[in-house]
Amino acid sequence: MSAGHVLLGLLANGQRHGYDLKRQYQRRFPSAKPLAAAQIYATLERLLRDGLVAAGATERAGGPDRTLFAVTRRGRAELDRWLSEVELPSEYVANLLAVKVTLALLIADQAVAADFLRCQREAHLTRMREQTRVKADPHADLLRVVAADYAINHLDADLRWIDSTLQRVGQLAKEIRP
Amino acid sequence: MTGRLTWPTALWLAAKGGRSDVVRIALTVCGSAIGTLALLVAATVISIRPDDGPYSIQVLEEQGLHVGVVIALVLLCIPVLAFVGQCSRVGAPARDRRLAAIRLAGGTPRDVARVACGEAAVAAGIGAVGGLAVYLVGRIVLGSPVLGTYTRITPLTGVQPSTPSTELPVEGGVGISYEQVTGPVLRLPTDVLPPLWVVVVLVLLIPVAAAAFSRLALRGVTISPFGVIRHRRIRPPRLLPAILFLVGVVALASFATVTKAFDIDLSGVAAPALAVLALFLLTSVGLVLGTAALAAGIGGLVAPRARRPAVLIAARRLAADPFGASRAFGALMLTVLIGAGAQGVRANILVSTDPSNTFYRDTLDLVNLVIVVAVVVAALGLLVVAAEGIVARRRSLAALTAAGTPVGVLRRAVLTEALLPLLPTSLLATTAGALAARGLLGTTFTETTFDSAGQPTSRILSVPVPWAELGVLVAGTLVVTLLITSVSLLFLRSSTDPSELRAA
Amino acid sequence: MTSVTHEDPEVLTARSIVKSYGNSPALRGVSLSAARGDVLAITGPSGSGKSTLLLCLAGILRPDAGEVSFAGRRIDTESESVRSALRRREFGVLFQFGQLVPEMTAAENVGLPLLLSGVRRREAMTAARLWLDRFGVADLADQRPPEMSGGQAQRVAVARALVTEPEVLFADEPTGALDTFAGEQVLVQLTRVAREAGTTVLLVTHDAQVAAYADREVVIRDGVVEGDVVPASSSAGQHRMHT
Repeated sequence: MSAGHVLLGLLANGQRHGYDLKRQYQRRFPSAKPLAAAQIYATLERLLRDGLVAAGATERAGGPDRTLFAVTRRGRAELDRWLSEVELPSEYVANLLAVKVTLALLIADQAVAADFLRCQREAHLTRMREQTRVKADPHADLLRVVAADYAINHLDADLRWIDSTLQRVGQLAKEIRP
Repeated sequence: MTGRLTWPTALWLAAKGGRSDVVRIALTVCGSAIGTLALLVAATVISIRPDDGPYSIQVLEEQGLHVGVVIALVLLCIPVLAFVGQCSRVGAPARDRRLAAIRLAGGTPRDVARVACGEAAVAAGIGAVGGLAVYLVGRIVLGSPVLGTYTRITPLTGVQPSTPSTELPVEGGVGISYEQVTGPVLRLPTDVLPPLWVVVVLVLLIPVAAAAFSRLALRGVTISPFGVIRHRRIRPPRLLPAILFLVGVVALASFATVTKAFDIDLSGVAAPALAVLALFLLTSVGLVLGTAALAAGIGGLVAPRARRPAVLIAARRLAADPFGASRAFGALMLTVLIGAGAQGVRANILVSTDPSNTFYRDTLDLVNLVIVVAVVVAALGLLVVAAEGIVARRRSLAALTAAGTPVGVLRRAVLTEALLPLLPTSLLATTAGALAARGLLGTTFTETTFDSAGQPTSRILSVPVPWAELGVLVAGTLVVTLLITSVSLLFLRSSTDPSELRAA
Repeated sequence: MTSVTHEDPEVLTARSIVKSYGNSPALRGVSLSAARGDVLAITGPSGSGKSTLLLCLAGILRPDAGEVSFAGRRIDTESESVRSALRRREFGVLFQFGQLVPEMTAAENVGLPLLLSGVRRREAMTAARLWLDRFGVADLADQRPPEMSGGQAQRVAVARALVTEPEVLFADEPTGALDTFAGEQVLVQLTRVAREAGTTVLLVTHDAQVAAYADREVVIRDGVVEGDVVPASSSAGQHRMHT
């Protein structure tokens, strides 16, 4: 995901200053890792340089000076292009869990690998319960529910992988260390 | 390749099912055998000539009563055929799934119809041949004469005062003499064989009817590759049966009064007999067609008020699927109607005949025996309905049991479902039958006796309402049905097994 | 009526349950316990014996060996009629589908357990409507199950399982026949109402997303609780799970 495109998207409905963008980002993407202020300003600088955003008036509201940014016509065109672009499923899946299982089988034995998988399963399930509680909260807004749902489904994919790998760990051990 | 399913393949497919298919086919075979046997015996009785016999069963000695025997035997076929029809639903869900699978595998609707009809025709055919075999073997086994007493009946012309027997003077001066004779008699008319073509027709009759019936039953059904869709009518007909039934009963009940009032000549037998037959058919058709609506109506009336769980379950099932039991239920009610009519006729005959002559009483007892057999066979049809109903809703029954529903509640629900519509409907049928008999034959009888000088004196006797017989008929029907449908409770144990709850 | 006291936090306990179907063992010594108000998921691959365990715990099946206790009282040795009464009063059961009486209305289905306990029809129907309303299906009160969607029927079934305010709710794959969205709604409402009422829930599922509605999980594999010490005959290399 390109931070530049996300900021372009958040600016598309009107001009905002940097701090406002940070708050908007957190509100719209509640489950995402928050953006650091420095990263926001660096990204804005790059967008400005490429002519995708333009700096407007400076606002002063009791605090430091804040520059308002707006999307240029080129910026809007770039945003539209990016939104319509299909995200190709990546060819190389970086699976840290699989790497750990392989290494555990290489340096230790099947039991250690299985133990790791079981503990990992518990950790995943704990996170899944948290996300499910978020989702089941009668006062949760839809944005949070949708985000929790995304997390739950990804955790579920991992859990399925853990379950099937647990069943294959013996075979896998023989293959790795015949 | 002809592009069509061949008959051998169709039959092979029909017999591919499980245990319930075997049960269905076996029941169809039995029903068809009994039906064919009854028809063959009826044909034999009608073929008896005056010089055949003599027989130990008195009614066979009396030529004029043969028609009555034949009617009784043919009527006996009605519950038997209704039973066979009900049996065609045994294991039907599984068969429907198999038929759908045949469609999914590329079979045409025609192929599927062929499988269904083929099964019915072959099973009924085997039964018919079996019935014929029983008939032929029976002729040999029961064919030897035994020593017995029989009544020799001789028509009298003119006055023959020397005959030492009871004389019944008949209009026109012709009488019949009855004479008790002891000698070799046949137990059954084993010396008579109907013409060959009659035998062939009768043996073919039930298989052809069964095939036609199952083809007809498929008319309301679409067997798609994804299952069987029944275009079931939600509401059974109500108005038409009610009109037919009421018109029939009122006309029969007022028959004698009306003919008397308008001084209609009843001596020509054909026209009034046809009228009575037509009215009787009207009543029967109205009753049989109306049973579904009656069951639905009773269910719909009781369910919203039911306090007891068993009654609630039973009433809701009646209201939701009034056609489920309608075939067997209709046959039972028809039997009760005929039975009640027979009791009315019996009361009339017993009043108008000499009590010392046991012939009439014996014959009437024989009629009642036929009625009892018919009630039992019709109740067997209801047993099939009840058993099928239990097996078909295994999952919901198992879930109810799992949730703590006592098995006694489920048992009572099954029995209530069979009995709830039975009481009011059998009272209706009994009333109709008794009214018809009394209306036709009158409620009084004019007894004419001759004194020693040959002078007639008349005495008017009133025919009593046969309350006891009618009561026994209604109560007996309820008890027999209760006992026979209780057998279906045996299926309850396996149908409430927790294994039925396994996720599919 | 059995009441659950505070000195007895464990509502339901199973000790070394063994159950076989013919020659094939389904449970080979399972022990677990659930405290009052616990929402416990029983998970495992298909054929692991988790459904059989649920049926044994609910007193529907009688185990071949082992003990099942509810509120400190052994139930596996009781007669079917005693266990049936217990299920009627203290337990609620919920299955995947097909548990409603198809000919009866939703309100009658929900009111049935009350009628079975001798509640008068009018009161039973009022209570049934109230529970249907809790699960957002009050407008279906006079409809019959075949006229409903799977999700609607399942919500009616949940209302029926909870109408007697049971101590324990046993649910076997309650959302197995539903799409994700309908299943989610059923689970959200079920767990919310159960938590509010302090009902213990035992939720059998093969689906981690369903298990995540529970507070904790017991995994059954090959008829034993995973991580428990396994009888000698079974595979080596099983270690006690870190918790």
